[in-house]
Amino acid sequence: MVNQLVSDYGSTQPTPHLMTGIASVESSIEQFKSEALYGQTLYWPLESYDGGTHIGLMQMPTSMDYAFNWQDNASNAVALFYQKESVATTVASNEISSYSGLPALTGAQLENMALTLYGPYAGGTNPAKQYYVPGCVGGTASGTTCTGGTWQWVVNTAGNANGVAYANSCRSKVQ
Amino acid sequence: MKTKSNWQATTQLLVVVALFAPSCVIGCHGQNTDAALRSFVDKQLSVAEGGGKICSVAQVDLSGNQTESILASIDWSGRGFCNDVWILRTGSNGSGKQRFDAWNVEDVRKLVVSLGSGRDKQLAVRRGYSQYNGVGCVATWTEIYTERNGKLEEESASFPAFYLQRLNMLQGLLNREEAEPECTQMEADKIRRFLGTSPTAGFDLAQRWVQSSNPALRAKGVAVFADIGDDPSKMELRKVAGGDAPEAILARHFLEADGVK
Repeated sequence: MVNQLVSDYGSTQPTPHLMTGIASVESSIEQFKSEALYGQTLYWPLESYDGGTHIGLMQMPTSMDYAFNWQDNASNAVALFYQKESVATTVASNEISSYSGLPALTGAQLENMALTLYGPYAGGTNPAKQYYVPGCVGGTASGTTCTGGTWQWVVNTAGNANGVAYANSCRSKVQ
Repeated sequence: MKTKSNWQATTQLLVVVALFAPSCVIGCHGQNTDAALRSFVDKQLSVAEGGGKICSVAQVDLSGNQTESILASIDWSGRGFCNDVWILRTGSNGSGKQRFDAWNVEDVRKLVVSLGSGRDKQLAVRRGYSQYNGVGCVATWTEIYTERNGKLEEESASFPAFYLQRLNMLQGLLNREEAEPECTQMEADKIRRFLGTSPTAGFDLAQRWVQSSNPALRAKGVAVFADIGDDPSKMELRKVAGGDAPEAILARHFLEADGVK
């Protein structure tokens, strides 16, 4: 499963094994779990605690395909993650246009933004709910003006602590 | 002839109104379809543009004076986490948008409750209280909001009966020994603290949890200490705040947010 996740995401990505971190948080890298259901003790698809709204390796929305085909579960989750990177790129571009001197996100920073957007505390294009927000480092901020310092990306624990924690948790569990 | 002209004018007016149905979403008491509400919410919140999906919408009269608001729950993850709740309103009784962090709101109509004696209604918003950890449970906590001057304000403390009833229900679940009872226990203890019947309920359990080999349980212990928030709890948070484990980062966040270093 780890090899499949790395292959799906791509070896040239900033963190090639990043998807294993998501899978570790979401499912402990498991698609099936032995349990008794309908009178049968078998390896059943791994369901979320809330009655099974999410399923499998990457805890995708429950469907027969995502329940029994772990490769589809993985590959569609990776495709969704790429969409989140696209949203993150749009958000970052808008912020860079507004905050003079704010640098482009590095590849790893873009991944962090996308991790928050993939998780349950995502905020779409709302800039206040992202992993990073512009911060006036070494100076004083007034609106979009930073006096005596420079605009930098700072971790947004104030605006989305849970979203940041989800992303950090995924990173800490990369295998 | 004159009657026919009036009829034609009326028909034209109705056609115009129908064409612009989404623009009269608010104020068209009972007239809006689910599709019209979704279209309105999508435009207001740029849901599709942000990669999100509208989980549910409803038109509600919270104040009881026929001033309509629109409630919506949004999933921004693309995975069905309906955790972003919005209320949108326009009109003489206030306008604008208000958002709430929530947990798993598949149907916003279930948030609307009648807890008082008047015609007004309240919003009971269930929020995540412990960290999400995949297939494991998430403890939740419900806040009660009441409309005041066109804005929803948190007034949970005004509705102790709601929490007593909830506590009784949770205690019943705990008595049935659920497979994974810690989230139920967390909510029950939080209610006891909230009602003042046991200001440090859950402290002893959290002490055991942060020593657990299960990282999800350690994070739950941290969440309990942060919520109790007294000096002994802050001391417990400081004990686990070192290192790069997720619960350590969480503990540091809670301590920094509280201004304690």
